[in-house]
Amino acid sequence: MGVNCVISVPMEENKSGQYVITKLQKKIENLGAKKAGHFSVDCETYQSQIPIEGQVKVINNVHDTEYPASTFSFVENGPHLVADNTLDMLFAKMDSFYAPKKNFKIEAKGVRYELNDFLIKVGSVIIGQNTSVKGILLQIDYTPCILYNDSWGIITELLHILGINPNITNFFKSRLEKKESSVDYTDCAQQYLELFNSVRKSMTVNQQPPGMSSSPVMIQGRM
Amino acid sequence: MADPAQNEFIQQAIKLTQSLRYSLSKTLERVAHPADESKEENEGDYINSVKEGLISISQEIEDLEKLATKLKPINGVYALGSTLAFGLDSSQEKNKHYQELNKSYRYLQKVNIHSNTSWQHLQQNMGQHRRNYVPKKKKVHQLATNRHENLSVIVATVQRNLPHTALSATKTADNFNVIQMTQGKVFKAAIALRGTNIEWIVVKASNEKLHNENGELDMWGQSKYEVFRKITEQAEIAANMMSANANEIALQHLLKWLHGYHNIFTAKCSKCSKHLKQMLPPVIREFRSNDIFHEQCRA
Repeated sequence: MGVNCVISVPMEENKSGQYVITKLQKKIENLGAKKAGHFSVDCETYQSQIPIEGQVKVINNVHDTEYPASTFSFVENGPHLVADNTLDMLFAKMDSFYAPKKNFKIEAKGVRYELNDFLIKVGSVIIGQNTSVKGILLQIDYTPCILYNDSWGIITELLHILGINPNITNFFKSRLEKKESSVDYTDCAQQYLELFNSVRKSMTVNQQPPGMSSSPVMIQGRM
Repeated sequence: MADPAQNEFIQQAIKLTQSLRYSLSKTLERVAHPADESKEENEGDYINSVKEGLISISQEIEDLEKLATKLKPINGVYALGSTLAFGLDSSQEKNKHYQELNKSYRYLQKVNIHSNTSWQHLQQNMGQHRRNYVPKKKKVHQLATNRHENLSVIVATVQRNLPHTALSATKTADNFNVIQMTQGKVFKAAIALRGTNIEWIVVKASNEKLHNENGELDMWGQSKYEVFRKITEQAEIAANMMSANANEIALQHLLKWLHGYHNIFTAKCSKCSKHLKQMLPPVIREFRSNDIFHEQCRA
């Protein structure tokens, strides 16, 4: 496990999400990357049925195929824990306290590539039962390096080669600001969660009447 | 075959020739060295002795000439045992000696070349041992007994210059001295030594393990990352370079050179000013100048 950086790839106007993904995949393959299976990262959101301290608490459970036996559980604006995936069964039994938000499950899935010491994942984001691409996420792992600051130059150079703006998450920014900050198992899930939230936000903005500004990061794509 | 009388004549003739040669050489020697320092003699005695010599020579020549008239010329081959075979030409086709000689000659030449090469290699590897035995006796004893302590001294010396690098000298079960180097969260290295000769070197990522499940040092396992396999390759080349004159200073130099990889992920190539070439960071640190290059940019 090395430093991983997840960024959202902007959609192209009048082009489908699949078109952008295929173009990106071709670029990666042209660099000599080899396909190494598929991946998926999903996030289920639970809401507290009874207000706790006068507030409705939200918990996000993230699953990553890279860690198939684990569930990463994040309390909104609070702590997080890494548990065995049996935690999901526990949540299913607690539905009178924490109920899943309907049509709120968000997932990024796609192809996994290995390029020398890099691990590159290109995923399309879908929400609920809707299969249309709501966004594109690109994950780059530089596996031999565990220091954020050290790997940043290399990751930006690869993004530059792929022609993508290094539009990093706030989480990644905070890690870069710390000196000698090394990677942790939950880092990847945290970045996905941040990007999933921004996709959801852009969806709600887009659903609002015209005139409201949409998120500069995510542009909704069409299949 | 010649008759017995003839054989006797021949024998006499040989004897006469021998005595003639003896007296001739004696006389000539007397002529060549007239003044014999050991004996005191006058000129008259010298001339007389030469004269006597010359008279005996002429007498013997006369005798030989007389005998020669009695000798008959020998016709055909005079057989004298195996000397018969002397004059015969040996044909290559009939015996295989020539080919066999050729083969053994080539074989011996190869043996010569191989032994020379192995001698050179052994000389390089045994250099340290020889150095231990050649100089003063006191030093020999000290080096033989305190080799491990010496290593700790070397490590401590290098450690003073590299405060951010963790260095330690340990001994494995199979009696190797091992220097372990941990460069922050960037890389780990293990160097197995015999004396100050480097036997093996391995560089791994900081998220890899140098020890196996049993807690033993796993010197033979490679890194799973391409970049660290390349660095190990470079370190092996550097170790081979210094094996010609392996000593404590060379070992210190190697450790400092290895420390140059602390910026493997952050340093850019001196030539192309980029991080990546064929998806690898610049993995070459020049041994003398410490310049940073990609493999492809060095040439």
